Amino acid sequence: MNASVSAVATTSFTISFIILQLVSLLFMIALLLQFALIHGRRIEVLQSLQSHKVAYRCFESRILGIVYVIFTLIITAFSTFIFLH
Amino acid sequence: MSITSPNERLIDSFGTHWMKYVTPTFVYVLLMLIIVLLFVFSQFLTGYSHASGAVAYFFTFALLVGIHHWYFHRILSEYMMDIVVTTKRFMFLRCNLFLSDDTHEISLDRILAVEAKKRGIIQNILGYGTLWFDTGGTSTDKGPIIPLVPHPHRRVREIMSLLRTQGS
Repeated sequence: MNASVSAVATTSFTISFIILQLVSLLFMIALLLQFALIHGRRIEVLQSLQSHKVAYRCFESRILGIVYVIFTLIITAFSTFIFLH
Repeated sequence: MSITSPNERLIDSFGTHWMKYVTPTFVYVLLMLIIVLLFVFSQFLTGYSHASGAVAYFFTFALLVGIHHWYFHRILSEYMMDIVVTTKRFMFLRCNLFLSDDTHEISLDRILAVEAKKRGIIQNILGYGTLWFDTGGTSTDKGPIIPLVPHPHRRVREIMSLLRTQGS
């Protein structure tokens, strides 16, 4: 009886953990897509005004996006490592 | 989004002051320290009861993920605050990803006066403040107020010289 309760608890914990990680990654993708969309519109405005800061803005936003992805992957890897051990 | 008239020329475009990142970063670091303590507590709890330890771990993970995404949502949203000054208008572009996307556009013809305010030690040392546009019929409570503007007094001088050029 105890063993089956423990197995159910472990399975539900594993499923919850996987769902949490998936939601986290999906949120990251959605946020980056929204960021890219709004950023694209801003760049359009700046380009229409012939701003010289367009290339710099693109570089900055790319760095921000990459930092976000790297941090999210680190957190995912860290939590998976702790979960497996 | 923005269609410029043929004789419209860009004067300046800039983001708001980096001070906007300080509060979320401070809160993020503080919450991460709490998360570390929660991980230690979960480890401690696992020694007594495996199930309660696992539940504590899961909620700590959930909290970690939530705080992490909240922080980057704030940072990416704050990054999108832009101020554009052209020979025809002043634009303040602000967005909160998924929640709002605002454009405040003030035609230079409508501007009667511009006011710059730097209040407190931090604003004076770091060189940022608030811009307020008098477009007639507005008060400082309701009028177009642009916060976190770097070097607001210099911006006022630029805008006023533009207005004088247009008036002459």
